[in-house]
Amino acid sequence: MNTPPVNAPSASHRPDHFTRAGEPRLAPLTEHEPTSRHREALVEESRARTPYFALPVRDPDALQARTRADFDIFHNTDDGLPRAERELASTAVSRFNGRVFRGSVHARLAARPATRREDVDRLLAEGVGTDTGHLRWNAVVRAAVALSATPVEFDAEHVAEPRSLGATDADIVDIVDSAAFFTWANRLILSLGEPVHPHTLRASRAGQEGDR
Amino acid sequence: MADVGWFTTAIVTLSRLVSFPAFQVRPVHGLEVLSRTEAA
Repeated sequence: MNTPPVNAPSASHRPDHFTRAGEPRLAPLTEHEPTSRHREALVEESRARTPYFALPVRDPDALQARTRADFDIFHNTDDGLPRAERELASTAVSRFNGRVFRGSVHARLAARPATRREDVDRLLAEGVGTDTGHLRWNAVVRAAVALSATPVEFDAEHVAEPRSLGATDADIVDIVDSAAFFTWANRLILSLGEPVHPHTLRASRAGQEGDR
Repeated sequence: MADVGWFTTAIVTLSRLVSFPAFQVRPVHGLEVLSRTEAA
């Protein structure tokens, strides 16, 4: 079955290249509106300053549950994939889903150490079919994109390829969770907000953490 | 939705509700594939 992604970009106002920009479609809470419950749900206070948390925090219980999943999937690196490869899976998924801002944020994190920056830039510029120059990275990208596709295309080959390059089952679970989480994040944010051209973005928003 | 009377917070909640299964089905699918794929 050849079904296009449900959230495929189509609007003519979208930027034609992948940049760090985006803004919510609905009104966020203003700085005077959040209650202690809202602040608790953000888990990290710094997130209250980003428009992409100020909007979803309107539903604090849902946000808090999601934030805990976020931290467990991306920050718990005792076992499984290194952080950079989790971010690579997120970058690939976000690029695949047309999620401009998030793709760039994850690209920055995946590009540590900085020797990988050009490889990540190429992924964003050329798309998820590009050769990152690293067999293991290519395997992560392929598996993450297959899992993000609708309908899901992730199959035995996406387990076998990273395994043949030394990935453990814990590593593969991390690819699955990272890709699944950002399929969700991309879909949520594409419904709540819209990528915009960088020159329309207020300078004060540039460089903030984003919509995770 | 706003035009027909939905409050912003309710739209956010609905967006969360309908986007969550996009996550839910993927770990289930991925772990199922992993569990039935024998190590070479």
